[in-house]
Amino acid sequence: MSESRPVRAAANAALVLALVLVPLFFEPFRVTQFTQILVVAIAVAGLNLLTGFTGQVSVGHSAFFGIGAYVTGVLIVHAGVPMTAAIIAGTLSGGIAGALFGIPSLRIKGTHLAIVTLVLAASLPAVLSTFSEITGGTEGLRVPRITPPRGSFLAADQTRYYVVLGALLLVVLGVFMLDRSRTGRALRALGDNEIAAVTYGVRPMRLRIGVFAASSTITALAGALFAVTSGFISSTTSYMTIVGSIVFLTALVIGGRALLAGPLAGAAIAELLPAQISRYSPEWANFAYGAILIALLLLAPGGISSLRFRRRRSHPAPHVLPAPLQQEETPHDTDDTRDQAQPTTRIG
Amino acid sequence: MPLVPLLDVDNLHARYGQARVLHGVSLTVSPGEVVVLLGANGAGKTTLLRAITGHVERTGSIKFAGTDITRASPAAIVSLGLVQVPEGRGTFADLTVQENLRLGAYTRRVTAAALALEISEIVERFPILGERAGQRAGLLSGGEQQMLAIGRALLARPRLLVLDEPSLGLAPTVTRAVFDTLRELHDEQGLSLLVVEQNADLSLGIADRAYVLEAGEIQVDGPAAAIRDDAGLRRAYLGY
Amino acid sequence: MLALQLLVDGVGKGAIYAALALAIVVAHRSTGLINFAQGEFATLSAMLTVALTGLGLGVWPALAVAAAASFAAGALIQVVIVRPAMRRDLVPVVIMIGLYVCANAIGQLTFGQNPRPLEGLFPAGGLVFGGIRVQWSLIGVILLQAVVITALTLFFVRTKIGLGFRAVATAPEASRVAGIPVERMHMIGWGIAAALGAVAGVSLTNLGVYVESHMMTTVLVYSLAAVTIGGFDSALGAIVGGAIMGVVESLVTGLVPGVSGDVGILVSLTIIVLILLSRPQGLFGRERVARV
Repeated sequence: MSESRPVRAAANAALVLALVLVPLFFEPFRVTQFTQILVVAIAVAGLNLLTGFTGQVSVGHSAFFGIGAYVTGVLIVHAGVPMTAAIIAGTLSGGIAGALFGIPSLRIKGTHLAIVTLVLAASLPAVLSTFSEITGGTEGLRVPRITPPRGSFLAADQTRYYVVLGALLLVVLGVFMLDRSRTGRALRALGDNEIAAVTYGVRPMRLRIGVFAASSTITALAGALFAVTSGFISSTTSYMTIVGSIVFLTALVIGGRALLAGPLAGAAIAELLPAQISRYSPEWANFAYGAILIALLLLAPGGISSLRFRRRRSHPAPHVLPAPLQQEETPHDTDDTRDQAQPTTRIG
Repeated sequence: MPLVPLLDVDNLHARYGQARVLHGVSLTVSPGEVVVLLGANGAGKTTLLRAITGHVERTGSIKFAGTDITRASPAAIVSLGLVQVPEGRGTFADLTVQENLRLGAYTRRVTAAALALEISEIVERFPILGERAGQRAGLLSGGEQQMLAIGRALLARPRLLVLDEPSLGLAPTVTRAVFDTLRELHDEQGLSLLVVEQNADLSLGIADRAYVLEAGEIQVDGPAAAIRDDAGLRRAYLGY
Repeated sequence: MLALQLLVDGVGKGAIYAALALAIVVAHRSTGLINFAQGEFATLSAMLTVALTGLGLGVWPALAVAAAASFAAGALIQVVIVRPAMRRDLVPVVIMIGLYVCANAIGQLTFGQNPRPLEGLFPAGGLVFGGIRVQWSLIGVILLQAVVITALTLFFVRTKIGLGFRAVATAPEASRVAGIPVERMHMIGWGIAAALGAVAGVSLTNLGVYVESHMMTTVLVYSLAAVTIGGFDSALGAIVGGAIMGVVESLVTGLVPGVSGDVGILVSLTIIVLILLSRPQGLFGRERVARV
């Protein structure tokens, strides 16, 4: 928060303007690639909500992405549901799944939560290939894509881009407003120190489930949009597997805490860099994700805790205890250090 | 002091991250000497011990038996014979008493037979450890754990034994027994001791010399008896 | 009769889950981290074994060499990647995921996409009694895990390094004071875990699984469930948990209509969630303050 508020607002406005103009100047192939980056940015914004507010890490967000994508795709293809309704249904399904996992996350934390979410991520492809009659399994499912409205001057690729951009901006606006709200403050207090927060009247259960559900809803929305913009989903699509979770985490770590620029920059780098590397073979891309993630975390000084949303100066949260992350090894004998030069008394 | 000191600490600074705790402490322990380090809570006593035994960031000079150990690893320091009994005793709660004792000799090369013999000698001194040999150390009483910690430290073949608050959390009679044991070890084996204590009266009773540490600096340094008899000093630094 | 056959098969799978679960427990006891890449490490070890047999080595010597190489690689990864990460907030968890993806990619890159069989460790054929078929390889796999577990137990109880390892797992600070090289113990722990994984991976091929980059994915999930059942620090728990998961998987996928092999994963997920909610220390673990 080094820059002042007007500077930041201007920078964000410029960024939004650039995002709006981009598809007018690039060929369809590029615009489609940018659309995919925006999709990933939405998923990352969802993960950012969870990690930013609670400091918790989910490695299962690929499953929520996959649920969003498949519910949407299956409803359109097999049930003939209109696209908009299918997207909404897909998004909400992810949210419901997230709420279900939000309940155990009340008590399961840290490494244990990571185990649960990892197994969740590993389960999805298995479930998809089991029900391959509906899902297409590894063969995949062809989903009709978003088409431009009648009489529109936009091309198909541009239409898809703007739909996804609109969704991203709505999501970021929502997270921004949540962050500034009473609920946001309660969440930050909860992340800092649960016991203290409870004494201030914060209700941890509702908040935790709510954040988990909101986070997975957003990521499921990304999945739903992926289905209707890429037009093809399969159980081996990397976003549906653990690799997807890694992509989102890598993007989150690269992008950092900023609400709009963070997920965008992270998604752009996480999407484009491995694509460059993977020209030889797609496995190199996976290796690159893992290696980049490890390298970033080892080299970045703050690690995950630097991703926590900071308390704003103007609205100081209840002045509670030190951050729990800093209680590493408390020395027994530390004292404030007064440099009083008293001579040693010698006796005898 | 006519003798070359066994432990020679000169101008030692130590810190935990940003918090500087020691500001140029100098201290010596001669062979066969019992030295007590007194001071209020937060004076830096534990930090000083941890700095000497290689567990905190430190600058300055620490020499042990003529070797510079300022940059040595904890394991290397133990194998030189500078052995610490940490505050809160630091026994391995999940391991048996027997295993705790075997760990004492970890830094040495001894055959199993020789180690068994040495352990039986320790058990002779602390018979309770023999009775409890197969029990988990966590089940011992506080006094028994302190005996175990000392016994384990002795198996490292110390030339200087460093004890951090050996009386912490112990009943007065147990504390007295611990100090009697320390006195015996010194008298029988000529073991040098550096003891940090809150219980000034008892520790000054077994010590040759004493230091008083305050706010990370040595404020008083002299023969134990003189410090004990100086009412002004006692009031100023020891609070009694 | 079917149930009994499934039970026997389940114990065989369970022995492998137990071996990988034990590897996870050993790594966890040394550094307090769950190594999500443990299964992928095992896959790489199995791939190495295949490569070594391709060079003309017998399958047993190849396993021995692969286990030794895995020990070295595990120790190296602990030093280079895990150690610098250990003192940070949730970073290690994410790094373990990164390792998982990296190891998987390395497998695909070096071994290729085509599954390959590995020569059996044990003779073909088997026993039939009372209508139940028991392959020699199944008995062999169970015996092999038993031998490995016994050897490991002796190592931890009888040897000086084993004792030092347990001391570090109990109280790292006190270990440092006692002059035990804590970092070296962490390294050895990860090495042993990787070597155990090599045995688990190669054993799996003896139950008819081909070597390929995803061979351990479901095994990892079942082993994580086994570790959760047994408690993250309990070796005995890992073994019992592994056996339970092997039998549960075999019975559920064999007896419940419509449940095929892969959906068994959801059973693991349910078990993990239920246990973590009700008894996070596992059935065999002692309660302790959560270390995150």
